[in-house]
Amino acid sequence: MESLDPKYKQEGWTIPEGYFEQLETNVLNRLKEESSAGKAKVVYWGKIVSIAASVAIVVMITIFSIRSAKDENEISFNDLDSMDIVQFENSVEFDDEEFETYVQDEVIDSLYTEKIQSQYIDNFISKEDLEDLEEEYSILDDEIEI
Amino acid sequence: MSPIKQLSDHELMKNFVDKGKEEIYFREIMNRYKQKVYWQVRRIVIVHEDTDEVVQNVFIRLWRFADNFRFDSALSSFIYRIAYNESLNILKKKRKFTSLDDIMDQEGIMKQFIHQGDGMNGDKIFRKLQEALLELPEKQRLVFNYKYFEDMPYKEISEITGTSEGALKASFHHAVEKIKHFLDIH
Repeated sequence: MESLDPKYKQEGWTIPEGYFEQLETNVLNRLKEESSAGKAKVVYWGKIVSIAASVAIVVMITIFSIRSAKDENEISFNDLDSMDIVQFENSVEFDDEEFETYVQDEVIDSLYTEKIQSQYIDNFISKEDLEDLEEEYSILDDEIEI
Repeated sequence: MSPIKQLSDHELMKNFVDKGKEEIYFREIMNRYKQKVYWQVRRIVIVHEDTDEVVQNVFIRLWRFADNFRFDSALSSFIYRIAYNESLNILKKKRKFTSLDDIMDQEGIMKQFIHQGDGMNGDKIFRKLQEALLELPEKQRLVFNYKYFEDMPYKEISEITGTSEGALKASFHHAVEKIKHFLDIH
C-alpha cells in the first residue's frame, strides 16, 4: 500500500442522484414483498403437504387392508386336507368330452400307450383287491380251459 | 442527536433482535453501513446496477440472519462478510449466464465498462488503476481493494474472506507489484 502512489486512491465512480436516500426504503419494501410472498408460499405448500399426506395415508390403509384380506382368503394346495381333495375329486364328474377339453391330447395318448408298472399298481390297488382279481381271472382261465 | 444514534453497533443489533426486528433499529444500521458496503461492492462488481442488487441482498440477509450474529465479533465484519460473499455470488452468477456464443466474459464486460468510462467521473489515473485491477486474479483484486481503499487491517480482511493473514499479505504484495508493472507499461 505504501509502495503505491496515494494519488490513485480516489473514488471515481458515479452513482444515480438520491441513491443512498432511497436505499433504505427500497430494502424495506423488498423485505415486505418477500415476506408476504413467503407467507403465501408457506400456506400453499402447507396445504399441498397436508393433502398429499392424507392421500398417502388413505392409499396405505387401502393397500394394507387388501393385502391382509388377500392373505386370509388365499389357500395353497398344501393347506388342503387330503380328504377334502378326495371329496372334491368325487364331486366332480367329467364326461369324455369335458375331460378332453381340460386335458391335453398328449396326456390322453400317454394314458393309452404307457405301460403301468406293477409297483405303481400296488400303490393304487390294495392287496385284497389284487387277490380278488387274481381269483376272478383264475376262474375265467378255468372256464376257458373247459 | 436522537438516542438511537448514540447506541453502539452491538446495542443496536441487540435491540433489533430482542425487540422482534423493529424497523427503526434496522434503518439506523443501514444508515451507518450503506455507503461503506456500497463502495466495497462497487469496487468488486464495477457496474452500479449489479452493486445495487448486491447491497440490497446484503441488508436483506442481515435482517433474516440477525439471530445468527455472535456478539463477540464486530458488526462491521459480519456485514462486510455478507457483502463479500454476495459480491462473489453475483460474479459467479454472471459468468454462468454468459452465453457460449458471447465471446466476452464477465471480466471482459467490466473491462469494456471501464474503457468506455461508463459510470465514471474519475480522471485518467483512476481509469488506469481500474484497468490494472481487472488484470489481477480475483483474490488479489479483493485484498487490494480492502487494504488500499479501505485501509482495513489484515485481521479484519482475514475475518471477512476466511483467508489467513499471511496469505493475504502475500496476495497484497503480488497485487501491488503487478499493478505497478501494469502502470509502468501503459
